[in-house]
Amino acid sequence: MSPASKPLLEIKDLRTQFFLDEGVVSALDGIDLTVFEGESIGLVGETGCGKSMTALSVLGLVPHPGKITGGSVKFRGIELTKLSEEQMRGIRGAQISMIFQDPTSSLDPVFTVGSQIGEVISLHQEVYNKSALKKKVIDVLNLVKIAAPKTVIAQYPHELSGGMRQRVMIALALSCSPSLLIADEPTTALDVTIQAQVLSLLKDLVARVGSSMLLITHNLGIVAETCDRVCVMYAGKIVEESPTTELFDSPRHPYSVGLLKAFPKPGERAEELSAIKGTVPNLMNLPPGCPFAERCERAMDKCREVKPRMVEVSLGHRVACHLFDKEGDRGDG
Amino acid sequence: MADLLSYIIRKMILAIPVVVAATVIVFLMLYLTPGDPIKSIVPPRAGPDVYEQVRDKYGLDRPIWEQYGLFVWRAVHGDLGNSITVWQGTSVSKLIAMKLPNTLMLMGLGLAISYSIAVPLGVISALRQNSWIDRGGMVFTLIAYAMPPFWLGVVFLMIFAVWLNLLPVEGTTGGLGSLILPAMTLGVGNAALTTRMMRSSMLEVIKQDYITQLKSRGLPGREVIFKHALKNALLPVITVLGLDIGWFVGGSVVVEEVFSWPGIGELMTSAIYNHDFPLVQGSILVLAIAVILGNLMADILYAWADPRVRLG
Amino acid sequence: MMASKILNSKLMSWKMSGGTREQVAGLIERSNKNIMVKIGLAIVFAIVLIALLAPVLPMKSPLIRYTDSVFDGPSSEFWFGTDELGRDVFSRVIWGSRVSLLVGTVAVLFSLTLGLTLGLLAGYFGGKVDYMISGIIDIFWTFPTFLLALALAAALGPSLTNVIIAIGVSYWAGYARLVRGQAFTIRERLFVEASKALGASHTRIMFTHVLPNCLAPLIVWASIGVADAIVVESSLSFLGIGTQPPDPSWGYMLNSGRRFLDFAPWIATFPGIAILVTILGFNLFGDGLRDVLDPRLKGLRR
Repeated sequence: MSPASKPLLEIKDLRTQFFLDEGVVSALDGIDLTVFEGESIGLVGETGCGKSMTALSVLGLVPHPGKITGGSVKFRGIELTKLSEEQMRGIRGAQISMIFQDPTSSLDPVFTVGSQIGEVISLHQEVYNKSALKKKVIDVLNLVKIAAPKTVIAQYPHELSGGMRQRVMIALALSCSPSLLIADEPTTALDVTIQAQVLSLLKDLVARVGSSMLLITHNLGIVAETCDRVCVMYAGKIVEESPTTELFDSPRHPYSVGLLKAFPKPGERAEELSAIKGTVPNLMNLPPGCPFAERCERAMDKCREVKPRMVEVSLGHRVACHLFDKEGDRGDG
Repeated sequence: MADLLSYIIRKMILAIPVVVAATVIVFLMLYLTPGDPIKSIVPPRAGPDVYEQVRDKYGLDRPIWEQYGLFVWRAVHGDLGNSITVWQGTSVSKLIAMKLPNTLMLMGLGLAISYSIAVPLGVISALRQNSWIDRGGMVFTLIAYAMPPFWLGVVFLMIFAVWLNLLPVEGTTGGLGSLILPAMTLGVGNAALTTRMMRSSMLEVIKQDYITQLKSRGLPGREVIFKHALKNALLPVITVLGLDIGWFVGGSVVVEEVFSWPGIGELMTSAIYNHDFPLVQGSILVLAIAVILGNLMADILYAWADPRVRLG
Repeated sequence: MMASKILNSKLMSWKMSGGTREQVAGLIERSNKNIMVKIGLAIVFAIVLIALLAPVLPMKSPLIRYTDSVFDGPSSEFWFGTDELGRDVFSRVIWGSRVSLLVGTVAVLFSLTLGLTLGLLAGYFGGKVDYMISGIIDIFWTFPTFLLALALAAALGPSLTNVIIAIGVSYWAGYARLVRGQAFTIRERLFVEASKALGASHTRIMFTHVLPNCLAPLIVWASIGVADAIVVESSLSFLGIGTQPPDPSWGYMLNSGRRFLDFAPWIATFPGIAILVTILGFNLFGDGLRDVLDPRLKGLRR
């Protein structure tokens, strides 16, 4: 990825909120994220920090009672938040695809694999001839390295193994060669032995099709293997963004530091796995300052009062933390 | 398709003990009646030679399992005895064969009416939760459910036949016009139950991951709902189709009485009233078997619709 | 009010005590917020009260025929009018509630006992016992219940007692399945092993562990069961094989009132409304309770 690459997806200050009887939950509190053409970005964070919600917001699939309440999502320069439902449908599946976490529950159990893949292909590529469609479906299944595609076409999701189902999901997502693939925890629900296979398949295909990938996960190991850049997310905000190797070498944000400490690296002996003290803040009642301030060992008074902004600490590496915000320092700390 | 066939065969085999049990229960009914069993089978004012004949034929002096065997043997050959009071002398099976189609028509139309109301109402209620349609639908189901079929039938009778003078009060003509009121009674009553089932099932389905997945592939909302969600949501509704058939049978007995519809239910009630035991016994046996068969068909329908079931 | 303060503090103390009491207390709290439960309970309460107090209420006897006032419409003297024999419809409706409630509660108790016992035995002991009992449960479960009740009532002869027996025998399978399922899951749990190791007898385990877990769904079923029983009783009486005259039964009154719909509709209507309200009350209570127990089951049929 060179600085000259065009941005494919530009998310600026995206806010998504859920309006419940008990109060308003801010799932996304101003996200900035950019995906360039041909690159794979990892989005890491713990459960509940808003990673999946980012993906759903991009695709305009935020479930009721949630809504996008601010910010912009630009795909190839087009403002997605302002598109009509019909226009969005043209983009979903064709230009931006998503793979969900649990392959068991993500496929319609009463339709065959073949008919589900065929449905997507005929929808976006307008192929209606039965035999032509069948050929395309088989091609796609071959692409994801499923053995005996002709048998699989007639099978139902419950007849396949977990790994095969995930391959089918990948096939569905890539069937129309989207420019952007969003993969939400694609290997988490799989057996450890299968995880590596599926992951490498994903990498290959993305490279082959020429898509960009937004990989959402809580597993730093996967990120290390697959992504060019990483964004770390906490309580609905991006707190650090950097090229992968640099993040692992020198994490800046105290949360990222904590994450990496808690993550045992192969070859290193971990004396003890350290956990980050404290718990995630209540998304209904976000504190005025930095959301991590309560648990941060290096928190200053300012952190509790003023939200930090993203600052560039080195080429391509940005952090949202007062510790690195020299200009924001106005007389205290 | 092979797995579907083996499922069907398995289910048919499993239905056999239930049919056997039904015959046992119906057979034993004779011994529950107070007094000497023979009195129930013999026409009133019959002479001693008739008693002899009956005693012989039914083997009333023999051990009970032999009598059961004779009973089954006769039944399989279509001999369910003769009516002793209502249609004296006529073969029970002949009477039943005459009236069964009427009951089947009634149940069929009732089923159609029920599902025509329940499926759309349930789906719309689920999609527009808490809207006035949803709330109205819930009120309707609550009230209609609290009105047993005979009461609902009387109300419809009052409204349509007496006040509005729209439809005939009695069903003796047997034409379609007189079928509507009783079928509507059954249909509306059953719709009360089925609507709630449909609604909750639909609510469950639209929360599922695969629905969001389908949307993320760009499928139009209409297709997601009607092609995918609906098919999945109908599955639990089909499972209760079997229970429904039992309800319809029970309901039609009562409804036929209210509207004097000449079906098996009406036959059975007049038989009970007139102490015509062979007729009662025969009717119940046929109805019970009809329900069991109906259950079987519902099971098969379900397996056809939901491929996951065929293995189990 | 003092009473609610006392109740509240009792609830609080129960909540702290853990175990069954805590569960029940939580249940009561949530039920209080559910409007269906409240309305249902209110209706049930009112009807039970009326039924119990019928003999002492200041109204006319349901059996006396006021031969001068045959087919009279509702008036200040006869609130619901008179029927074809000159009897006071109002008092007949009130007295009819006794029949319905009697049948409803006794039949349900009958089914409950039968179903509980068999279900517990089957689920707890498993193996051959379960196999045999399950077979019987399945047969009664698939056999059309109304038909069975009808057959039994017809065979035994029309009377109130026989109706109760008929309903009781036909509807027990549902309770049995419920309890059996619970017993199955419970007996695999560790605390049952622990109890056994401590020397608890089978009966004791069944009563202290299995039953409390079934309690809530059983109440739901029982409430709806009473409603069902009333439906069956009134249907059978309507057909003439249930409660016999001159005992006032709503179903019977509806049947005899049918013929006079065009000029004396009150004879059939008021019993009908009574049936409607009663069944509605029990259903609301049962349904509301089910929603409280597990909102996911909303609208599901048993």
